[in-house]
Amino acid sequence: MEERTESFPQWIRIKNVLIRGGNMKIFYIDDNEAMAHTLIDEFNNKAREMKFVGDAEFIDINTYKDSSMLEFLEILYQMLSVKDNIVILDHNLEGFRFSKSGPIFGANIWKEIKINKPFSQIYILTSDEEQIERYRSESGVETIYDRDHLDNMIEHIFRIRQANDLKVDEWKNLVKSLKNPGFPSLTVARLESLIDEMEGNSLSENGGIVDETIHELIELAKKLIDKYEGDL
Amino acid sequence: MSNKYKIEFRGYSPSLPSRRNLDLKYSKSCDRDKIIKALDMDFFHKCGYCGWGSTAYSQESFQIDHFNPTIKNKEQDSYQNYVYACPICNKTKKRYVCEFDPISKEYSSLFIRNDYGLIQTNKNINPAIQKKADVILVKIGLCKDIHAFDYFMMLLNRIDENIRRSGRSKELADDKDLCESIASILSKLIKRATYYKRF
Repeated sequence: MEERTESFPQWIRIKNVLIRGGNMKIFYIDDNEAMAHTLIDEFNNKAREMKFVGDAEFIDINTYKDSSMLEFLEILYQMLSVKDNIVILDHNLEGFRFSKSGPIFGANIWKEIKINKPFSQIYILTSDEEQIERYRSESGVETIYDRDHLDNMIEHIFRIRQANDLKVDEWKNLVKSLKNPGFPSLTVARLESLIDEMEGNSLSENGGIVDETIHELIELAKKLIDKYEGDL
Repeated sequence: MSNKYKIEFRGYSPSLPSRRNLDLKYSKSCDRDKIIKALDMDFFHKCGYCGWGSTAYSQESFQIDHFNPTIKNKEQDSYQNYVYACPICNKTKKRYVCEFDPISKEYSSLFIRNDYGLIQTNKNINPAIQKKADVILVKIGLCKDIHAFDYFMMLLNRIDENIRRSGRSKELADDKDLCESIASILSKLIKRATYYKRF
């Protein structure tokens, strides 16, 4: 996996998007691409906080439009592998650049979605072959990935997820240990270090690993503030 | 709901901020640094809208907000129309015109902090004013969770300072250590969140 990271700088960004389960709530598929469905099923089984919507129609987007920090992956084109789709889509992570409407989706509708910014990021791939070629030439991606590569990618992502879960447990235990008098200064240093290690998770109201772990710390702070309330 | 922590929701105590009578204009680029420094002093190193401490940011510095961006040029480009604003409030507020000047007693009475340090509308004020406060809460982004962390950090730092001043640092060493530790971790979280603009 490390070799591929070096070969494909996009991999780091793809990985960061995919492991942020707290933000990635919906994958949207509206074709019968078997590999895409398999991939989504695996994510759905392993990522407890991820919501899965399959075989939805475009109009259903409105149902989810108001969800905050919604991320959206639409896979429409059957001739490319899912990984290719993701790599090509990733090319658009830093900017939504849909300029040509497909046969189904009107440009005006997309424009409206963009203006209202219901999604933190929007990924679009259409069945329009010209557009696919344009994405392909812009991203420089030519490699076709097979199922083994996808398996490796998913395993890697979930190894990171499991490691994050361990960090959450460690964080909670360390915060509890702060209640004990004379806790070692190393405890604080480790807690601060864990914040860095829990990379890619937000403090936003939408959730994330840091969000999950902040509650204990706030409760501890509240007790202390309550004790000295008169002095404030 | 009572104001649990008793102090003003932005931490402006005992005095509210005030503006000096300075002849500085944002339109003159050479004045901008002077305005920022003057506002930092006049607003006691805090955001006028939410009370965020000006030292908590890792990347983005505090900004000059035009309290009323819609009035005519001469009045708009006056020190009396400037508010010291954190990037969170300034970016959220945009061109919204808040009815109450942050240096006023009225603005100060609009909001309280709840048990979790979150900014909420003060339910002990006139219902008509409450409705206006509800709008301001959203328009300026005071309802965002991240404001609670800076407030807690400020309270913990105050406790730490009070313990030190009381000369009981040895006697209360455990609490002092805990204060410093939690404040340090919160500071790290805040800097991280603001670095990634997650608010």
